[in-house]
Amino acid sequence: METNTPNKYTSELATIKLFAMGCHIQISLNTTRLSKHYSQIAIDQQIAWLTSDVQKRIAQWEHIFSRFDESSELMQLNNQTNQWIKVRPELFEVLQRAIHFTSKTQGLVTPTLLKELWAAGYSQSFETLPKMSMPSAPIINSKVNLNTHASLQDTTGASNDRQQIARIQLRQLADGKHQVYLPAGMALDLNGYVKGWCAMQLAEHISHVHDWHMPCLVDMGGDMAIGVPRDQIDKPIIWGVAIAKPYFANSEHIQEEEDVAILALSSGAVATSGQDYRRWWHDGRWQHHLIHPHYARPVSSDVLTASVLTTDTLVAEVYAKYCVLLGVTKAMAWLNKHDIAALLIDTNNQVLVTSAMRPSLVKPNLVQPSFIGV
Amino acid sequence: MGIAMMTNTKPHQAKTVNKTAKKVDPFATLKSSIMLISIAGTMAGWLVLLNQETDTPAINTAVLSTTVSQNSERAAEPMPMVDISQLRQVNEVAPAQAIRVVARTRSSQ
Repeated sequence: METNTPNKYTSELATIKLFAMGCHIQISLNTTRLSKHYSQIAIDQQIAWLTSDVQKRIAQWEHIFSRFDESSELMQLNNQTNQWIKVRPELFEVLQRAIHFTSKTQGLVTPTLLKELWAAGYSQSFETLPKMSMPSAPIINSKVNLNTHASLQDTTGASNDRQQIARIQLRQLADGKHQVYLPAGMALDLNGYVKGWCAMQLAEHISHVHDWHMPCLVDMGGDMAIGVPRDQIDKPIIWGVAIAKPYFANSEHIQEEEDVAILALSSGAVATSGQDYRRWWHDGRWQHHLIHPHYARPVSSDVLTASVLTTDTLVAEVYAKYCVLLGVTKAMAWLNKHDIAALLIDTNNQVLVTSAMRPSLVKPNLVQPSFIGV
Repeated sequence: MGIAMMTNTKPHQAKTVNKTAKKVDPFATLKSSIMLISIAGTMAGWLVLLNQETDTPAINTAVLSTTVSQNSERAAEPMPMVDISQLRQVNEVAPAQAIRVVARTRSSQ
């Protein structure tokens, strides 16, 4: 874990920035109410303690969930299949929720794809993966070869993931301890779920458990949770969250300030998933981290990125990933059917917004007429 | 006793008539005329003022006119008014400018 920058304070906002769990973490704290009762020195001291506390928590979670650390609890579980293994409540809870959402997403979003990720070359931390500067053409092409039934014949390892997931067993013993049984040949990757879960845990801790009950926005690498104190007597704090423009292969620099839309959020969570960022070069082709379980390889979808608003970051992350796996047509139909707030950007750089999303858009004019310039 | 009183009363009445005759104001007619002219002038002034107020639209008529029923003639009158849609636009734009972006969501970093 590394603290990239010192804490930055303004009169109303304090920011904690960290790099851990393979992502940039930023915690924004609204200190408006505190400044009326405490000195700046006292606030600084409290935030320093909070930063230390957050670092300890994240280090603990990293030790439980990391798939790049053979001593982590997750990897110990993966290495001891076909038997009951004692796990911590955190791992038990995240796995339980991941299993729940596997059935909710017709088996498309599943935690059982670690071996497929390894096969695609994602066997080490993303920062160390080879990223060649080729091809010269944009990675995201409007004429991508979508995963189809025809391409299924070329793949191996296609399986019914819902049947696979049903073979995982969980139990809580009378003494309160938790155990998990993984069938032989199965390996778990909980990375996507964990970021959302951690964001929620931190937001709840800071706004509910911490002595000062601070309103906050926790950003775990793009997956965000808003912490609202239960005893909030002032009017709700509105947080401005931008949906950033996707990354493009022919762009050497990250487009820091180019936004597709701006959201005004007072509670809940938002997460974005896409094919545009976590890409690496392996086996003569570009790979990314969104594996389609039916084809056992990175999905080729016409959804470039999907941003979803819900009440829980883990759920938002699952739904965003589900949209990428479904493709534009099915994803929009599913989102509208369930009245889910979402913004999709397809591989032609068109922006699609569900009706449930519109009330949260502060500057709808930023959403260009169905097109973003590359 | 009673007769004596009657006798005494008559000369007293005659004195009273004489006193009244002495108090007749020679300018009474003039004063009455001035008073009438004053009343008439005041009434005319009020009428002129009222007439002027009717011709001048109130400052906030534009706002009020939005609540006047459709059958009212006043609602149909062309009058200088603030465009309420502009007010709405101002109200909608103002909060958007106040929002401060604190984070950006994008594919997992």
